[in-house]
Amino acid sequence: MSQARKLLAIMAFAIVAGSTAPASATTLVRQSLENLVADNGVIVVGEVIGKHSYWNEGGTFILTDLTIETREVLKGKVAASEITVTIPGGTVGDLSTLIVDGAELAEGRSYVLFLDRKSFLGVKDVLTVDDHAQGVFEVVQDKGKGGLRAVSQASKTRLVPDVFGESAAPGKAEGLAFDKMKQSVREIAGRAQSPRQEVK
Amino acid sequence: MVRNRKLSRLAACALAASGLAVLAMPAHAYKMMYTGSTGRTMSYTPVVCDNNNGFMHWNARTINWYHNTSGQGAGKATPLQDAMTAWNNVSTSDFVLQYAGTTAAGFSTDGVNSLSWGTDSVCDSNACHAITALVVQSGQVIIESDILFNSNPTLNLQWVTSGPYDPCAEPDRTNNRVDVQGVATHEFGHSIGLGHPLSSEPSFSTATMGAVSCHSDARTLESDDIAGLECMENRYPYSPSYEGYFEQATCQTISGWAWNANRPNAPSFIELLSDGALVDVLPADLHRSDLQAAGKGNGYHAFSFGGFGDGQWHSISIRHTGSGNNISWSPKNLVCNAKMFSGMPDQVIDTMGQVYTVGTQFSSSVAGKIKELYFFKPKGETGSNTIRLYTNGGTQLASVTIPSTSCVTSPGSIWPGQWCGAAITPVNISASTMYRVTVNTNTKQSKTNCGIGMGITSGSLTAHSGYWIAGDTFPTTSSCSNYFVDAVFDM
Repeated sequence: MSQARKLLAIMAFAIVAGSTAPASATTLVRQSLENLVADNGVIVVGEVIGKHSYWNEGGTFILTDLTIETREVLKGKVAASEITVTIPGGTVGDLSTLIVDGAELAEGRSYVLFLDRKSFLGVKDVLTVDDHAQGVFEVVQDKGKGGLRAVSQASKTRLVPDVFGESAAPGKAEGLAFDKMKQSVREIAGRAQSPRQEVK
Repeated sequence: MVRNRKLSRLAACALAASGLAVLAMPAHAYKMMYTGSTGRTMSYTPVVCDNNNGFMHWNARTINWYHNTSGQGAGKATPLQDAMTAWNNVSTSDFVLQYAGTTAAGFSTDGVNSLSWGTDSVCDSNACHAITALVVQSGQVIIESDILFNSNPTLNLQWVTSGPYDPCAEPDRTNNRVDVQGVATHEFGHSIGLGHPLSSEPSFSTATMGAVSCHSDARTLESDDIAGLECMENRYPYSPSYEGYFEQATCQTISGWAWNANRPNAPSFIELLSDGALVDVLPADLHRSDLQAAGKGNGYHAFSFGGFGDGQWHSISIRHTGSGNNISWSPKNLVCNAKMFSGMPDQVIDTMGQVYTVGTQFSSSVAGKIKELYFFKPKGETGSNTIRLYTNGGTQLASVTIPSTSCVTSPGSIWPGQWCGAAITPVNISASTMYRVTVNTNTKQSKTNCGIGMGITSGSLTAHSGYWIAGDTFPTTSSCSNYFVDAVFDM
């Protein structure tokens, strides 16, 4: 009967999805947590609760506005509990535009986002993930130890080494302990004038 | 099953046993880029070549690139062309990346594949050397690509065209030298549709698509990069000349061969569908000496899926991935693990110590094999039970005495009992021919009065009548009742 069950399962035609591991780096230079905190004006923990893709005003690129429900603000200020983050790429009708290894944000998931105000691809002064995959840490359950971890979307591949010769994203594949990461971000943000320290 | 290549290989080994050699393809770590799954937004998922949902690809093979020579783009034509040449020189690939001249276009969706140096904030930070965008239509068909190199003057990246250029070797970045050709070679790989292998994979450190472009060897392709390009060619070939045959559909093996005559020594990819639904994609890459002898390239064009079945008829189709057309002799109908009865008896009869033999007269609409025998053993039945398969005239074909450990509790049955059965040495049966399967009962007997009625058909099997007799012998008295004695059939 076990064979019969196996065969029944086979005939269920479940399509095996490919790995959902996000990749990183088109050709990106490794950013330490110190760099990410220093170079981005707003750092939040939040959940993606909506998204809307559209052509920019000049009709030259598809962009996506993501609505983020912020849970915590680790650096900077946001005007409301819901913020809009604009990212290059998206789908409108039959056409998709994507940045190879751009930031990848899915509805219903929570992230630590390193955001900065930028003007790009025809939009002006919007919050965006300037560091692409490196600016997104997904908050996930730690199945081994319990608790939460923040895993960089750049963690699955190697980046151009930074000035310290380090090429792996902060936390590497296993990610950073979520609470510890938040504490580190706040500490780094709070000592703006002090010499930078490497936080891996 | 079918996703499990091991089973496919096992089936292939069965072929080997019949005189057919089998060799496996070399393992590679390259990844293709899939987009379009639910929840994804702007980037991609790295997938393997036989990903059921496919991956991004071009339908064309000549990709014209236009060079924006403004700013730091000046004087970069040669390294850009050299980077294109690295991909064009792969002899097993039809791709032609063509330097088509200059343009004023940049990083925008305008139908022009552009190479530009710019200061747009999409890639102007110290984290970004270059970035590739893809424009994709339905079916994951790439219709445009743009590559933007970071030209932010405050960063002062030195886009050099000759060495020294290796920023990995100068971690202090005193000179900010970045190699145009190395970065461009990597980005062209993305533009074709190749992703990054994961850093945990062995080839990562050497492949152009893995090792970041700070490495000097990023200018030249490694075997993993070439394998990725070949994957693209084999899965989505340009103007293929397909041929193939769906030779066999049994419950053990679905097999045949398929090739693209334009790529005679490369594996062609096929899709397996059941009742129109995609089940699996895989390369037809098993060797058959008869194919080689017949001039079908190197002969590595056979496929073999593991068996499957749920007792119902299915229309199995095999089609070429590049055209979506069925191969010859496709589709075929297949039924596996067919059983006659799925319900439960509605009563248990106390035989008062009298031994009876009860059974089912049945036939199959197609020829095949009986491989297992079952009966529903009611609670309280004692003694040994032997299930027998007979011709309709009473010649015994197989028998099995059921150990109690082979019984399966049937939850929800109003008459507590168990389906009990065992495998037998498969017995060939003919189409549209009556057989009987029987079991002796010693103290209790399962039954649904007139449960067979005018017949019960499931898959290829039809139960025509119940049979019974006092004693442990071939039953000869017909009945419309169902005694729940069953057989499992494979084509």
